[in-house]
Amino acid sequence: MICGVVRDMLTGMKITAGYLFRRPITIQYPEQKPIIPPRWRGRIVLTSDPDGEDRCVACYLCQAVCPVQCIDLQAENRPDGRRGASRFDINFARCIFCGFCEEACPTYSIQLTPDFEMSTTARTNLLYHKEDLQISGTGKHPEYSYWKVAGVAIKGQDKGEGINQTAPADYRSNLP
Amino acid sequence: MSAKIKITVNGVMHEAEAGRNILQILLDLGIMLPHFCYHEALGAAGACRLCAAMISPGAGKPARLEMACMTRAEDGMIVDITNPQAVDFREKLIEELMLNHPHDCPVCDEGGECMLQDMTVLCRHQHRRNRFPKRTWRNQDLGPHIHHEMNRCITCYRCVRFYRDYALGDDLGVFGSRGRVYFGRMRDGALVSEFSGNLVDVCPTGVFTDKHFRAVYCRPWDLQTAPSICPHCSVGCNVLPGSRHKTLRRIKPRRNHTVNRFFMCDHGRFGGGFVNADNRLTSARFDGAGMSLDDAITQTAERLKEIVQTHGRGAVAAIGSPGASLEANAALILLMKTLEGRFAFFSTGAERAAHKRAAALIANGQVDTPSLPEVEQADFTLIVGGDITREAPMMDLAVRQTIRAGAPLFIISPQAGKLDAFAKAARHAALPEQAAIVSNIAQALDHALMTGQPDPFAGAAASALATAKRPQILCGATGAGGIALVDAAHSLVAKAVRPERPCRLVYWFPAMNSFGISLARNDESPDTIKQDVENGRIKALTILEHGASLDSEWPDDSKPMKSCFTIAVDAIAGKAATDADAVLPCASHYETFGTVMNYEGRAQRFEGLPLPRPVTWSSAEVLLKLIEALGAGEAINRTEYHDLFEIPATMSSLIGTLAPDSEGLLIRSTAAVREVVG
Amino acid sequence: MISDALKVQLTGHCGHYPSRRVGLIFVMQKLQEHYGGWLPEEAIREAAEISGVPETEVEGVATFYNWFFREPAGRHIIVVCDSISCYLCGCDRIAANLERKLGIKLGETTPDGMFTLLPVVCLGNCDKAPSIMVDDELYGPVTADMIDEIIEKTASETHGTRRAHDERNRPV
Repeated sequence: MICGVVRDMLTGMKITAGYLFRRPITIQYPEQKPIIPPRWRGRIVLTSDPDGEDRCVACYLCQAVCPVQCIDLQAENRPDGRRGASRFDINFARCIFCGFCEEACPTYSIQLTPDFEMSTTARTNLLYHKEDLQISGTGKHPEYSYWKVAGVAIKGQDKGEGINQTAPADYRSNLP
Repeated sequence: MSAKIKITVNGVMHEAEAGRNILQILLDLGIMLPHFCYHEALGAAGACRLCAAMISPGAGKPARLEMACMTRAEDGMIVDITNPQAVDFREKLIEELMLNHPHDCPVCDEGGECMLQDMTVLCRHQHRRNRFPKRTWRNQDLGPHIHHEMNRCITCYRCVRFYRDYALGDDLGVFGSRGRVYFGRMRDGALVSEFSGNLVDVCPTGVFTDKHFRAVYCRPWDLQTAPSICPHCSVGCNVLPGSRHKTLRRIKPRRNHTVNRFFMCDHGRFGGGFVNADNRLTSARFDGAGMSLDDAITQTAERLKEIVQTHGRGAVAAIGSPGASLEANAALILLMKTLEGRFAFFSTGAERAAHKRAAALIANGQVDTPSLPEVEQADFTLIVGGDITREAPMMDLAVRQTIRAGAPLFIISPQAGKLDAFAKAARHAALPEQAAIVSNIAQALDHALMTGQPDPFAGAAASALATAKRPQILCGATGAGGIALVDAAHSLVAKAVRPERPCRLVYWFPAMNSFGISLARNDESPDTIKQDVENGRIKALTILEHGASLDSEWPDDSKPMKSCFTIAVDAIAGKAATDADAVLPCASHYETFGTVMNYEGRAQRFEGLPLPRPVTWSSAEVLLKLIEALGAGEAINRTEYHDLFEIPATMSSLIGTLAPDSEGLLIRSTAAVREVVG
Repeated sequence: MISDALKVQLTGHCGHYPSRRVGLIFVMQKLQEHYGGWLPEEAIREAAEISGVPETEVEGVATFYNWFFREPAGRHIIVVCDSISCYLCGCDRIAANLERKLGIKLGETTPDGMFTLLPVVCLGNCDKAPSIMVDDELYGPVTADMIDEIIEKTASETHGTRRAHDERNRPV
């Protein structure tokens, strides 16, 4: 019986000793940065469309789908015919990084990024406003531009000039 | 109509009213069959083909794919809406309706209450197979209220069916044919109809949307709403204001099948700006110094006590408001009772007389006052005493339904109005002269159907009135028309009534609660109060919600007013509040609760939106606080409505328990409660 | 502007019916004739005034029917049937030929205001497909060679046959 105990102990010691000579899995964070997968759900950003304009059209779907209600925004109509958010707040103290907002977003505006380093000493610092959320790039869908397919006239793109649209119809035309 | 039939839907037997179409019955049973063109008010058109169902005339008989809205329900019919053939038909159809519908839902203002979206999901169309380009349209500028986005149209024709057929407007049309059908005006310009806002509700998708709401847009699911009553006229349309982030965003009609039913006028829909206005009173003031409301109430109470002690009874007076609730006016009367003061409600003595007479006739049951749906059923209408299109627009819409049915319309109005175009005859005369014309008609009625009347207008009206089966007279009870007009209309009706044929009579009033305050006991003529203010006999005057009321003639800022201590209880910094010595701010109409009585004496309860402002008390609550500060708080609990108003004691308690989503309570002094639906 | 005489005539015509609006189509036909084969906005306004039908509704009628034109139309209207029989028999070639010959596209009018070329769905001449109609003259089966001939013949006629057609169809 004693022999069995000693044997088991030695087996365990062997495994432990084996790890002594392997490279450690842990890293020296924060001096050493971890490698985060690209689809990691971290800090939320608002991307721009290929023209550099806001992608967000203030449709309120992210706000509606958010299970913790950490998103609040207000729509505005811009002089160039676009709609956008005049105010866009995300309360990261409440956000659970579920990614529902990104799924709900019809314009690929709201995206979650592989950044988790948002710790702060004051809760109020976790209330991100529009200017804190916006990035200048297109993020994950570089080609997509919502206004090209919406059929709405905006500055620089009249009715019917979007993708797969005909020129505005004229019911007064002689052509039947 | 009351006959019952049995109809089997999806294998379950249901009992339904006879004489209706199958779609109506299904919707009433709560069975959702997709549909577009059918609208409860506009009826069935059979245009969209979406309500297809397998319908068999009876057991053992073959079922066919038929449009439910076009099929009259018969006893024993078997309806199957889940049949694969019907489901497939609807799915294909919605796919075709969606061919040119743009992908702009994220920026569409209809999103969240879009019927097209609901129906598309309901019909299980998910994937667009068509790869051809989408047709686009240029939009029109339809004026300050309605935004036009023609790309979204699916040609259900509901807009023109409402605007042209139902509301008899002629500046919205449908142009073109086939795949090129356009709904709009001949050229850019504001829609002229008073009911254009209803296009927003009628359109199943986002072709017509509310421009004001669009400017401060949020999704309808985020709106906080409260059942309310429109404060703009005496019809008392049921409305549903919606707010978000401390501001009122939009107003929509709320269904009440005895009042406005589905629609409301533009004045009410787009007239909620006063809630968000910059001239709202936000802080209390006493003798020019800003302070908290509690302090202002305490100081005002002290001052009132002083005045009563120095000058004795009758030195304190108050002016109530037809634009304020029954509760607010009751609190004002109670305040005056506490101080042994005097009170008046109207702007002139003549208006008071006319209102009181009209309200008494209605409350005593001496006239048969129709509800709006009943107004629509009339086959003869005489309008007298004002421009109904401006003063009670929804009644105008009800009259338009009688015109559609071919009923003759006669108008006596001060100036040309929009209904004149549909009238058999229209006579324009100043309000004081109109009583004589009505009397002429009554005289002509004696020898109706005789030719060669001295007054051809009166003769024509009388002969049409004599032959009508369900005639009605709509009379404006205003100060200018006076009591003479009210009596003239009543005596004409009395003459026209025959045992087999009732003749209905509407008195419409200038303001939301004119009827309610007309029932007040012991109120004085405003003329005597005005006189006593001017000659200095009245030392303190309390003015209730004058900024919101329509009679802005009085109180004015003339000198004698300034020698008298004035207290303004108001939500809006109007003329009265600007000059007042004590300003006690209160919440506006859409932020408070209360009871109002519409033109037919229908008491309706409304509730307030939770708009967090510096002032959350209603004017009634402010006045009650003032009474408490005077040390007369116990009087509040002792007082009932019938102590202050000419209301039967039985109804007093009923008013207290009214629910905002009920049909309301008709105030009749005979104590016969005609309808109370909770 | 229409002459007072025409206005009186058309107003009188509408008076024949129990409802004035019944006369609308006739009024519009006459106005189209008066304005040289199409209905300018002025004509819509006048038709509304004469028949008592709101302007928007007159516009609705004018844009609904194929043979009311809201854009200037040529003196002769050539319609090419593109319905099933004519399509199978090569109406595309005929249309292309006409387009080339006249130098215009379907739906357009020649710069000299002589011809307007339009497609139409079925002329009821399916047994003689492909078929075209010039004013009220039917041609079919049409071949590419016939087109020059038809156009020359039509152009040489001093009076458009459309007018005669309208006269014939005048309601009594």
